[in-house]
Amino acid sequence: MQRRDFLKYLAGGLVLTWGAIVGIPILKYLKKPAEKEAAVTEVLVAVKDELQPGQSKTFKFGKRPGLLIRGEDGVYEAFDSTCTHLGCISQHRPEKRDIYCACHGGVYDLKGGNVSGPPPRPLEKLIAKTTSSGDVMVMKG
Amino acid sequence: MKPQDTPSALEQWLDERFKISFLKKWLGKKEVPQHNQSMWYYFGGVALFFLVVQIITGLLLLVYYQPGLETSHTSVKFITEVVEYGWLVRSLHSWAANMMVAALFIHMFSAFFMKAFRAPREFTWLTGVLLFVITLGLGFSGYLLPWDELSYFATKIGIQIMQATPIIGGFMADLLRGGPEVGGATISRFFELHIILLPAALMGLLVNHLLMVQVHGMSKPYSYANRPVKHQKSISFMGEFLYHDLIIWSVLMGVLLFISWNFPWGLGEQADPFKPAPVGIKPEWYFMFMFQTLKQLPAHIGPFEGEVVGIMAFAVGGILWALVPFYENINKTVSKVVQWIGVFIVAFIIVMTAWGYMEEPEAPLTSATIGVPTSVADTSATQELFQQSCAACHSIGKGALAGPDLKGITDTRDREQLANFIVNPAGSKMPVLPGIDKSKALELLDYIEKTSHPEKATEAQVEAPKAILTPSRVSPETIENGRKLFLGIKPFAKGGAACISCHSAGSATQFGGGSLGMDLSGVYQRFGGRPSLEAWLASIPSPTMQPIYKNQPLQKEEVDAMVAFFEELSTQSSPTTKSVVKPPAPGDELFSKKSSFFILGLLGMFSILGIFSMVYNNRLQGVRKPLIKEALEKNAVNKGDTP
Repeated sequence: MQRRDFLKYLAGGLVLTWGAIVGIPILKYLKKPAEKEAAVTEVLVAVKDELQPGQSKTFKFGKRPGLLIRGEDGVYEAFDSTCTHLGCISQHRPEKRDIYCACHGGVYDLKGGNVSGPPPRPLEKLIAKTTSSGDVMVMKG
Repeated sequence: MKPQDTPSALEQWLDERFKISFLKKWLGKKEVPQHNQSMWYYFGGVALFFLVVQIITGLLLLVYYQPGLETSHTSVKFITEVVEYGWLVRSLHSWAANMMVAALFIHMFSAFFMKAFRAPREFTWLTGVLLFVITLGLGFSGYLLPWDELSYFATKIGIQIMQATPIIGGFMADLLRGGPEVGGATISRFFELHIILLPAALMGLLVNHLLMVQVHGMSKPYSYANRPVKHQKSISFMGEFLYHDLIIWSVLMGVLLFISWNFPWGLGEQADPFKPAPVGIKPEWYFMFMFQTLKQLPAHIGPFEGEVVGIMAFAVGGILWALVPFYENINKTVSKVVQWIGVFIVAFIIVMTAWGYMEEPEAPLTSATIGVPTSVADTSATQELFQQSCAACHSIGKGALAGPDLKGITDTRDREQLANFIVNPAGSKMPVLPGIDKSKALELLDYIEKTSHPEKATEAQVEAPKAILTPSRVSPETIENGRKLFLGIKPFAKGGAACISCHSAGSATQFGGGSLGMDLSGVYQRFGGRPSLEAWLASIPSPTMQPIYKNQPLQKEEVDAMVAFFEELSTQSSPTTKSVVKPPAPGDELFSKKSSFFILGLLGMFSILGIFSMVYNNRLQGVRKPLIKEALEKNAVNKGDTP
């Protein structure tokens, strides 16, 4: 190896080192520090008889969107309303009795199952519980 | 011919498209004269280097900075306290800004005294002066953006001075402030200036400035230009000069890092438009000489206001300074006079700046001067109204709580304006008081005025505001209870959200708290102690928090526990009024990181030097060639024939 080549490799290596010295702190700087939040495990979504059969309500489950539907049989169903296709938020369509995502036309039935359109999976289910006083609590499934 | 001089296929391909060989040839021809004063040629490059640092660190700061009345200070605090290396990036940005201004001062004055502005370089000078002004504008606008106490008042004063300019002053001031007062609109405007307008103008002018330096070549002082050609030594601009530049830049990078690391730029308390200006407030050092000059002027000079005369003098002086190439060379006398005026200006700036910094600030306020309690026995409805609506955040003469102390506010501010503010406090932290109207506001002002000036305030009544800060006796269980309530481990009885959802509290939460609300570790001091913090928590008047806690108020024992917890926190952190953010001190675990950081930095510096000595391995040709030529010529003369 000639001296010239040796120096070339040495210089290249040093440039990489220098780049890392400047680059790594910059990358670390750019990474936003995580904001810890108290993990939500349970949310009071509706009080007794707030929803009539066939009605629904959206709610916040921590940082995620939730959808509470009272079926015509009076039973509550709760979902994470994030569409399983590309993460839009789906909505309840009482007149069509389905859950619909407006972004790409994904349709779920009222139990969260994917019926038509692009969604690959059913909506993520949450557990809706009726307390002794008749209020509806939603918790992680 | 050396092997690397034959262009590779890639180089040829690029050359056909970008005419690199033409550029190389053009730039390669440029030479930098070598003489006693050559060192001054480097300061333009130094300023350029700092500009690059400013652009890079500025772009990084923009990632987290959020302009706005509520967010400016919080986001800068977030950068300096939470983001990794954030304090360093901000410190570099602030320090490099100052060094850039300093380098420009030197660059400009050296160009002036070397008469580099003479024909044909008039416009190089003119663009240079404009670039200097723009840089000062960047300094001024950037100073406001963290929205802390100092920056707020510096901006207020700066714009006030501008306002004194005849004819255009009022218009300009309103344009900059976006209204009659420095506030949220001002932040937006300064942000736009600092991020878009001024940098764009700077870039345009800079390209022009640098292009002109290339077109005209370096200016040569007369003593040099008058030498016989063979004594006019020079080095090549793209070779040795650039190589020197790189060495200088590497060293400056080291210096800048060292200073930024060891003397991190502080961040003061969030600006509060109703707080009195901090004692010893000073402008940035590069504005000091103007500030000091205006301060020395008498109130009236002839029929004019002293300040107006001063500002006009500076304006006219600045214009004459910018236009100096157009009249300096008329004849020898003018040229000499201009030279001496230049000397005078430098001396003036130095003396005025030093004077400004040597002046002692007035003695700071002591507890005795601010702690005059109210002895007026006023049991009227107004007092009750004050207790209900104002006392949670304000005191009269007992020091600042969440809001400023209102003692004597009616003496320093217009009653009408104050009353309007109370009725409609839009744009401030103050909530709209329930059921307030103008007449009630005026009654409140009467009450504040009366309470501010008790007929007799004897020494015996003087009570230091610190008295309320004496630690009260609470059991450790209560504190622990408060901690649990804060962290949400234990829910509030009425179901209000736990504090941690929106707030952090220094060491108690580490980085785990929310960042929607402020950090509460110093809240005990800010409120001036137990009574007002208790009152505040019991009613929670903040407009953001009210909807959350209105129907779910804190219970009495919960308030007690929270206050105990905050009090405990305050004994741990005990922030002072100047909360200067510092990185961990040497001695803790960062120290080892720090030294390795510097070793790596040194390695990097040498690597860059190494590379350029190889890239420019024929850099000495600029010197060697003339030497050989000279020697050959000598030979030829000696031998009497041509080589």
